[in-house]
Amino acid sequence: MSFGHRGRFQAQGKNLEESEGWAQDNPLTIIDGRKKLNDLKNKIPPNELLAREVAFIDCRKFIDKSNQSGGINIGNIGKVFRKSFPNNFIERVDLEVHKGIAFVD
Amino acid sequence: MTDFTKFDNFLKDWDLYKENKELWKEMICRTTKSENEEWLITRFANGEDFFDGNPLYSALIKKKNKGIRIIQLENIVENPIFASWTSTVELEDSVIEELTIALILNEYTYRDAEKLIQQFLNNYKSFKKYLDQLEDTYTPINNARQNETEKISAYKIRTEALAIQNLAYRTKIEALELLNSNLLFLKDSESKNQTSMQQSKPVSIKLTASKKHSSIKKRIKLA
Repeated sequence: MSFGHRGRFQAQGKNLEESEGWAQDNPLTIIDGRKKLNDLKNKIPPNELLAREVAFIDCRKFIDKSNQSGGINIGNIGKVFRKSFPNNFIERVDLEVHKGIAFVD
Repeated sequence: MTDFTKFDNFLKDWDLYKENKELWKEMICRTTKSENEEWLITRFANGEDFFDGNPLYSALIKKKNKGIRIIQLENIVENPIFASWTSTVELEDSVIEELTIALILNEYTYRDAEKLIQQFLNNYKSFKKYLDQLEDTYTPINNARQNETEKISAYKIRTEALAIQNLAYRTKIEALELLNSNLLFLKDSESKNQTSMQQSKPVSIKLTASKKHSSIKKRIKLA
């Protein structure tokens, strides 16, 4: 089954690859987006979390800014959304929206 | 030859930002010898551009199923000077291998990015080797910057802690001064009370109601 709204938060690094995704019929709300980001934080070990402290803060700020700016809308333009939030880019948090709309009210 | 320093303020000037984006577009066109479409979204749903250099430019090279993402960073010590990695992206109808380069722009990082992109597109074996080589070159510099950042953070935290300590000290002094003045006031009142107790006679208060007025008048007479 193909869902209309898909994406994921991902914590990447030399020793880590953990993600929290969504695939659903309705656009991802900002509340669910924040929750998924928190769920990802809770999934990873404390030392890995420490290495990505700034990245998580920046990612959270970005999704909040998206919400204030109407969200992220992939539409039918054939593009995707990918953004990386670094500490030093080796340990980072990636945000991807593959399809549909995310971070709306 | 391009003067890269002119892009130092690319995050403060929208025209400069667009010009900087063109710089990457031209370089990737030159390397691929073709026009490539930008494949990553850089706008919010209301049409406003992210205007943060993340990504500044992206290109999809369809015939090779490869994508390039350029993240350009502000030249501040918190940011790494050069980092690159590969990942795969699953689209509706294809899988794209993506090369991401995050850098602070200068003539050296631009040159290294160009060579890395050329090898990523044209010579995959030497690309992996070059990717490792660049990691070896830039990791110590990035780490040094990271250490510097940690030192700056530690300094900021220490300064704030000292300011809080200073504030706490001043509050304590003020509290002690207030307590002291209260104690002096109490002592003063106490001694005055004792003196008046010794000097004054017993006080009696007499309340009488006047018949001449409808309201009740309170008359206090000191005996």
